[in-house]
Amino acid sequence: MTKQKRQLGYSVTSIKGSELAKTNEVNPINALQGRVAGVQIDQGAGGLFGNTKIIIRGNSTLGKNNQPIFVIDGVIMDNDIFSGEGRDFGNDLKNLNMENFETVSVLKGSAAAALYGTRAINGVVLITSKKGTQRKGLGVSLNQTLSLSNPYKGPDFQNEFGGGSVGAFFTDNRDANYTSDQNWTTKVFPIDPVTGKPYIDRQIQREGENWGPRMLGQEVTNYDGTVTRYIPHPNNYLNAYQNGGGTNTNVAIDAATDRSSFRFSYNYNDAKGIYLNNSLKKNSFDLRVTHKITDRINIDISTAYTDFKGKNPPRLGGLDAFGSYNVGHMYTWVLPRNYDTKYWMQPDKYASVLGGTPDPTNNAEPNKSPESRFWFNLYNDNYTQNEQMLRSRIALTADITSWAKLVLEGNINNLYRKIENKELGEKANFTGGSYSMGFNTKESKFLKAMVMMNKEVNKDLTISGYVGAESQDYKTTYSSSTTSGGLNYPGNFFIANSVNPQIVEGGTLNRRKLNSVYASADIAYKNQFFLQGTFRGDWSSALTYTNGSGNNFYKYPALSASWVFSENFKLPDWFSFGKLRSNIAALGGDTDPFSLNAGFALNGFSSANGVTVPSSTYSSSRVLQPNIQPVRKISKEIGLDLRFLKSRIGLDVSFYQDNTKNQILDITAPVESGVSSILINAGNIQNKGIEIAIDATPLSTKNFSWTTTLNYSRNRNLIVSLYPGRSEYNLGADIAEISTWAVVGKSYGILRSQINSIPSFVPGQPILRWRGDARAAFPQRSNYWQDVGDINAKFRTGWDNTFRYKNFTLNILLDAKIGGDFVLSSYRFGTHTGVFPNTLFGRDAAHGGITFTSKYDGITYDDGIIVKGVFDKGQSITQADGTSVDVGGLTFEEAYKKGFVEPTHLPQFGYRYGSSSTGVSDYWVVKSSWISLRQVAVSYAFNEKAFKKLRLKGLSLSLAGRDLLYLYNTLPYNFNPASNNSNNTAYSGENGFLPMTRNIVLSLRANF
Amino acid sequence: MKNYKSGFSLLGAGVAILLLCTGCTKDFGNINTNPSNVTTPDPKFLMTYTEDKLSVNGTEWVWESFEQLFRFTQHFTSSPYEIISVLT
Repeated sequence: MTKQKRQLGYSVTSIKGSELAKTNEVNPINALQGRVAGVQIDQGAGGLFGNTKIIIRGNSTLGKNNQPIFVIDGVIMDNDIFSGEGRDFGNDLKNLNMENFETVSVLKGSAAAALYGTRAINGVVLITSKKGTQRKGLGVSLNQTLSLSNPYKGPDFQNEFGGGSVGAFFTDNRDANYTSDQNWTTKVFPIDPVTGKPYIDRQIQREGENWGPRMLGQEVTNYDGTVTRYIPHPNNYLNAYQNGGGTNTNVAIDAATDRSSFRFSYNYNDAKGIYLNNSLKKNSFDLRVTHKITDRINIDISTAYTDFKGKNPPRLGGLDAFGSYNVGHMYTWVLPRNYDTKYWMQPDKYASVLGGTPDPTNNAEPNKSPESRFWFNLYNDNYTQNEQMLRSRIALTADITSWAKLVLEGNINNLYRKIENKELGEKANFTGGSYSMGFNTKESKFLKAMVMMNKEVNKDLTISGYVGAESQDYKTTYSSSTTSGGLNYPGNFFIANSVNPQIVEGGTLNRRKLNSVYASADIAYKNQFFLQGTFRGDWSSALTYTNGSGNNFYKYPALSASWVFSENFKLPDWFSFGKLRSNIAALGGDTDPFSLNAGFALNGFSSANGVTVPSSTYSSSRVLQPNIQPVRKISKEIGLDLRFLKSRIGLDVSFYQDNTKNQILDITAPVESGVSSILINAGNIQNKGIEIAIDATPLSTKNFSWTTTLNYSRNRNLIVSLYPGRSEYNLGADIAEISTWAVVGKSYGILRSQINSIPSFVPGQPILRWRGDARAAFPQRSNYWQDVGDINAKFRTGWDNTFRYKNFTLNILLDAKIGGDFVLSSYRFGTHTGVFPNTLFGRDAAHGGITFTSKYDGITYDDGIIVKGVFDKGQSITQADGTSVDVGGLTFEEAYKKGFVEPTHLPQFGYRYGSSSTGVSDYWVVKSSWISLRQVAVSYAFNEKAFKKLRLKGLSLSLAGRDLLYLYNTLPYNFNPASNNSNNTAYSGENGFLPMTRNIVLSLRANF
Repeated sequence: MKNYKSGFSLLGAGVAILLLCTGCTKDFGNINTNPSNVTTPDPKFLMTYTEDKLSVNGTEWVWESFEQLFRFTQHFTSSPYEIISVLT
């Protein structure tokens, strides 16, 4: 159904497939970044083929996935979400081949989405694939790409003080070889009682704190007993990465006659990521054939098959304590600044002489280096996913009369995934270890019948439209087997090699059927007025109760109109074109399959009486509101499309407002009720915004031209109402004790914390708490919820410039996000352990530390700081003479001047400021605004003379730099903004990060 | 003649659409029910669960009842995390 843009009553932005293919991105969403107004894209930290978040016009539901669907030649695909914990293998979209994209159109408004039904409630990215073009003989096009990815910048660490633990107090396992009078003394080495020599504090069973001595090249004993110099390793984080890169080869053959066409393409992509051992291999085949069977019947058949093998993406989240095999956590939480990555990543350093990896708690282990298991795991273990995606489509178009045709279409899209994880035992003699194997299937079927009509009533009036019906089926299943308790034969990876009985799981994850009917009527009058009315009705299985009842039908009426007013009025010459467009649409939505129908689940076995018996309980702890209704979204849009000076300048503006009501939500119930939640219909979430796109050709001569496109979008999200009596809804996205909420009167994406500090009566100073065992004052936690941020950006913008000089083309793309908060969990860890420069002030007299002799122990220290804040009412401090003084209501400074309190040791303050029991979240929710130099690309198209000699029909060379640098970045210490933990739309935060990475892509295109 | 023929085709298309749509919600109840759950359980398996929670996982039971007890007595009515922070 192609329509002229002139007729459309809604906003559409189209991009040429070839522009996207040039980027060589594995995830096609990354290639769209910065190019479309109203589309928000944030890259994740998942590595080579990880997920990226895409939102069109704001979050429209209170769910976790508010991302648009991707429709490739009628086949619907989702941008599935990664949970944020574990390894991010990306989703189905990575199996698409951008070389086959003819155009990509982003349908933003809901009037457009009404065409695709319930799954399109968050917008549609429409992909049209290439087909054979009519020419003499066979057309062959070859594209060879070489790419390099370079991790160029990690966060800025402090490089002055190295590993060493904070002073002693009751919860610590501080090294026993600090002397007893060094309880509050840092910046010293523990001394080996046997040799009398200093050694680097191994911090066994502790985090890797950096309160040790200034690193001046002192001679010390290293973690493995060798002698080393105590020096900083400023690049130790970047040294954990490599330069990635790869090749991408695409061969396409096509031919066409006036009756038939075919196009076949083969793509081979082989790449390694910047994260060690993270790699992919992708083979994909695409075939599209069209044929005119008779004068009236056309057939269009296509099939695409992709085999994808992905290996070892970085691990994200905090699944285990401390390092969690997560590089970001490692270098902010457990590995100190003196850690020499290149040394410890060597096989003989990360492997133990006892077999396995060094366990510093084992007395027999000579190598006490921290977290060696990370390298052991990185080099020995493999996490792989092998995916096969088959997408096939057949469409038959038959002309019934001169004004009507019948379209019959069917397609399938099936994804089969094999997951294999191999872990070598990390304990002595390689005991432990595991092996698991799993299979997932995801199958979809689609059938459609439609009659399209187009009747020219008279010269001025054309009526067109369609009626149709379709049916969609989706089903996902899984099964997995995992060894338990370790492997009997270390390093032999098979399921039967399990110490304890294997763990076997499997089942149907979800299944859904949608049946739909739709109709549309378009009236075009004098090629100036266009009116389109559409109607769609969906029946969804997901809103059906087990007995077959339920409100499972919802309809989508939509009306759109456009008026090319430049045809009506006599406009000045410079005013070339003017169109006003408007639309209003209603959309419906369902809920997750199975959620309406709980039952009794078997949940494992019990051996309570010495006999193993299956055990069962109710599968859900929630109750349902009777008669759940479908979700309702009403969307309105008005837009203006203007062109001036012979169309050299264009302006496209859209204003929109969407309201989604009747959402199907889990509202938490009081525990006293015996259930955890109630599933209800409620809420009204509103998105209101403006999108502007300006395009211009300021210069155009025979040899030189400059075209520029500027897009700007701003969206305001507002929670108008939730359930009666509720003003907040937890969206279930938590990082570093910050959770994301929808709050009435505010937005989807309010960041809340129970551990922020409490303001005192002195502006800018929090209420302080005193801990005698740490001799430290630090901000007190509120222990009640406070709104501490909002993830929604103020606006986003992109600026795309293309300069052409003779055969050279230069493209420069900038894009920016301004506003929106981000949870930086590593900033918390790094403050706690002293790896960031914010922990330098006060470390010693040279860094502004106060020198004082403590009355408690008579020792002189130089790391005192005056903590900003006011002591809480009733706070008393035990003095050196044993008396207590009430300092309530005094600022720390006042109390210090009065002699009631000694300066707080900076290490104690830093440690407390980020710790899991006393840290306050004031500083790790940060503004994330950035301007990125997204792309600079130069291409050269060879002259006909040059390639004719080579018997070619076309030859071009292009060099593109992607994600080159951030011109502006508000994250502290140059943290990488592309670190989003998950493409769950409620997340804006980092829980494991990668360095800033630029990609250089060289490609050669030849046509034979 | 030509019009006659196309009329038939239109009718055919209409029938095809209707066919696709008949039984628009046929089998929907079954599709939307997790095949891994049953609706009528055997009580003996439910008893196993209860027994297991009482005897084997004693700690969990104690914790749960502790939490329940305090809630019923209205000592704590909000987040269970508050209990944790009081205890540690």
